[in-house]
Amino acid sequence: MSDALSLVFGALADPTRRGILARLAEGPAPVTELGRPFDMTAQAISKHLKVLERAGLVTRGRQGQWRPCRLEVEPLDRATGWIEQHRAVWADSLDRLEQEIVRIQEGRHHDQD
Amino acid sequence: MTRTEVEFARGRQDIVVTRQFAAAPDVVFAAMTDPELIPRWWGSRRFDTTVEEMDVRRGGLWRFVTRHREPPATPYTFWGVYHDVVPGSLVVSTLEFAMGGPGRLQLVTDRFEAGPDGGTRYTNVALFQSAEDRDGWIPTDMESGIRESLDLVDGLIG
Repeated sequence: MSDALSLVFGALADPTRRGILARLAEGPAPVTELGRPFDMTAQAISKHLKVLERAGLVTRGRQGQWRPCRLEVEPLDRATGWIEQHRAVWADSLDRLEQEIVRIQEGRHHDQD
Repeated sequence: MTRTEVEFARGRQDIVVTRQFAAAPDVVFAAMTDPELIPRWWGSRRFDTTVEEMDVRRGGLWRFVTRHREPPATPYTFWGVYHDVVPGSLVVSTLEFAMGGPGRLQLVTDRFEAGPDGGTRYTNVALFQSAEDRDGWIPTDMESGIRESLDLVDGLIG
């Protein structure tokens, strides 16, 4: 797993940034509009956007003065993949525990023989 | 086929794992609380786990160190305190990831209930301090260096 994914999780760990992503899920928006729901300076919003951009979750348009922000879903798909991996680790470790239990029980049966 | 379910519900601050075992609750409990068995099953198989302490009783400490099998094999320490221990049925403990980060501290409830056919229904609830904490939690299967990355992000946020 890459550092890119850890950047995605770091980016998602903040409620303001999740709010920004939720707004962008409805469609592209300029920075001024993204900052409106939050009681924050433009500079603070800009910092959050930089974190989101670095994680690959948001891209900025190159044309015109508006440079609208856009949501990129591919890193989110990878994050969902991480949850699947968490599931796989649990399933695998409990399977290994069960093997140990079976081994213990077989040992017991041998003792009884 | 897997009998393990992991529930990661949106907006909640817990992760719930359930699993059926064919063995009886006291047998599953004994296996899960046996320090000698921990290295054989605990955590990801990509890591080697060492039990430094495991005193399964109220007020007792546990501390495991886990290392990725590939270089640089950075050691990660997990530790906590047992709060409630009812042999054969319940363990309530804390789990802390010593390197910190989101979700570093969890309250973990392990339940062992009699299931059908003499088996066990096992439930593990990891309760985080907030939903944000849970969503920021990085489990043991992440490659070493991830914490440094998160620190980098924190630095960017300021």
